[in-house]
This record gives sequence, structure tokens and C-alpha cells, in this order.
Amino acid sequence: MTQRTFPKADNDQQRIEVLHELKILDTSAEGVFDEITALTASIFDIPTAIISLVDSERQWFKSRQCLPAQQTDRDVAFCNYTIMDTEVFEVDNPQTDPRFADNPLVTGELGLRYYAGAPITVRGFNIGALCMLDYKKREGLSEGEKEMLKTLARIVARTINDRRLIRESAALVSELMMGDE
Amino acid sequence: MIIDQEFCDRALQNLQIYAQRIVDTAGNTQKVELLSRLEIGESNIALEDLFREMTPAQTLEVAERQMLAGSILHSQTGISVSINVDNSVLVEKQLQQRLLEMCERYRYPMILEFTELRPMPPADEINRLFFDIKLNDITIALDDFGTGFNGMSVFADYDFDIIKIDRSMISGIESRPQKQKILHHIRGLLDALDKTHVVEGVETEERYQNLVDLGFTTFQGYLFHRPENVGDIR
Repeated sequence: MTQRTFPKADNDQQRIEVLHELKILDTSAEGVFDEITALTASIFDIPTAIISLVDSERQWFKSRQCLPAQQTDRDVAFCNYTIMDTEVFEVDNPQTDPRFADNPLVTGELGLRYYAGAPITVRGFNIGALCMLDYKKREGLSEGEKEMLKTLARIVARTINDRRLIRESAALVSELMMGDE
Repeated sequence: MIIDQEFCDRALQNLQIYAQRIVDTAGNTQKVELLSRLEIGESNIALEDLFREMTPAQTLEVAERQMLAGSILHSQTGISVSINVDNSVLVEKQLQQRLLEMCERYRYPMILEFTELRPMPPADEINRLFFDIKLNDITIALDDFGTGFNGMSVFADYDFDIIKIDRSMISGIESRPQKQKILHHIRGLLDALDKTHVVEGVETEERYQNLVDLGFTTFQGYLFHRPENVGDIR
């Protein structure tokens, strides 16, 4: 299968390094992230909300509501577009959008009909997106709703960064404890 | 006594499985840890010493026996069962796969305990394995926390659900306020990381009280229960 084209920032490699430093890819589910996606789905009354982390060749989901897949190839990810910007990226008619009309997430079993995502920015880089999906047409978000989605994405970003800091201090404290012997 | 390959082969035939209760502050049994020991005449050899000489595949065989004994114990009592897996299993991809298959086959609320007898492979690889194992109603514990190889980044970077704090970490705490402070801080970090704990090797009432004051809630040690025959656990 030929790879689909998608936009990629000049600093994509640096962005991926930051994502890897956070050591969150392929980790177990954590309650706090599942709570945020559940809350997002509930606030926007939408079936699927996801925390998607965009790795070099894939997007991997730290948390997902009502989505069977744990990851997808990067080239089909709508989030590639979201992480190019600081604003909400929204697609309300993918079937007529030339960027997505032949995307397997749209044409295939999933039947994606709506996407909205806000970038998750940690240490200055968009490591992924808090996004939501619907499988029927729906109206676009109001300006106020976009702000809410961005706020939730900032909470995710803060939580991911804190998570790393807590882990690093746990390692440090334990080393002190052992050095004390 | 010389522990060599031949000895290990024979040992596998003669393993005895015991169970030690892990209790909460009310004294209730939360779970039991299965312990394999070898009894030959007078000598009574701990599994850790055997694990050092066994091949990784042999250690996995020991784990499988424990899983089987544990599944019977669990079906009769409803108690969660903790099983030791030597971390040499984690070093070989093929054994990782066999371990995962065993978990899928037995599939009951069990806890797999890994020690750091050998350095652990990188966290991303191991976390992927843990992710798949946990899909089978299984939780994962780091055994003997405080005695390992990789500094203590293991605690921070690997997806253990339960941290079992080694007796060496709590020795002499009664007279060492600084150590108590650090332990109290670790207790807080465990909460922040959504990890639970077991404090191992609690043998005196005074130390137990100290640990309760520091916020610890789950204990294992002779003060509460010695290892029992598996059949005696009700």
C-alpha cells in the first residue's frame, strides 16, 4: 500500500524526541487520562474521544473512549493536521474534503464523518492531540466550545508533564534512600 | 551443597509450594504470595538461590507450576494469588511470548512479581509486554524494591502496579527520622503514581506501628503470618 501524504513540521524529529523523553508511549492505562476522555465525550455529547500521541510512524492512543484500535499508521491520522497549529482543527465533511475523502478511516468500517482535535503541547512541542470523532454528520463547534476543547487539551498536556516529573522524582528519592544505606 | 544444572533438574521435580498471607491494617488477608521451596533432608533452599542457577526456561516452568497451584487456590477461596517470575524471562523474546500465553491460558486475578535479579530490558519493550499481560485480569508487582540493579528508575519508568518494599528499606527506621521522612515521601509518590504497595519483612510490633504512622497499609511478614501449606489457606 502506498503511503498517504500528510503535513509534517520542520521540527518533527525534535518533536518526536520530546515525546519519547516523556516515556508515555506503550504504557498502561491510567485513570486520570481515561477520566479526561470520558469527560470530553460527555461534554460534547460525542461517541469517541481520544488522547492521540503522534509518533514517527504511528499515532498511539494513551486513552480512548469507544474506539477498538490501540494505534493506527501515522499516514491516516487526522491529528497530523492538528499538531501543525495551536488552534482546534475540525473536519465536518471528510467525504467531500480532498485531504480525507479516500482516507480508510472514512471509507472503511469505522465510517468517520466528523473530527475535531486540539493540540497537546508539552515543552513547546505538539506531541499529540485531544480529539473527538463522530460517525454521523454534526454541526461545527462554536468558538466557546473550541476554547473548552483547547482547555481540556492543556489539562492533558499539564498532566503528561507532571506525570514525568513525578516519575523522575520517584527515581531520585529512591536513589537517595539507597545511597543512605 | 553445590547448586548446578543437574541439581536444578532434580529440584524442579521436588518443589514444594507454600503460601504467605499479605494483610491490611485490620489483619484481613488481602492476597497470598506463593513461595516455592526445595526440601531435601535437612536443607531448605530458597527459590532465589535456585533461580540464579536455573535456565530462564526452567524458571518459567516454576512460574507455571505456581500459576496452576494458584488457580486452584483462587477457585477454592477467591483470594488473589501472587506469583514470582524470574526476570530472566523478560530478557528473551521467546520466553516473553510464552509467559503471555500462560497468562492468557490461566487468566484469573493473579499478580506477577518480578525481582531485579538481573538488569531489566528497556522500559518501552517491557511496558508493551506488561500492557498485553494486563489485558488478562493480571496486575504486576516489583518485588524487593530497594535491592535492584537499575538504580531505582525501575520504580519510575516501568508499569508496575504494586511496589513491594524490601525489608532493607525499613531496617532501623525507629531510630532514623531522616529515613522515615523519605519513606513517607515515597508513600506519597506511590499515591501520585497510582501504585499500591506491600511492605515486606515486617517482624516487630514497633516497626509495624511506625510504618502505619508513615501511611503504609499493606504488610507481609512473620509478625502476621509465616508461610503455610497451600492447602491450609481458607
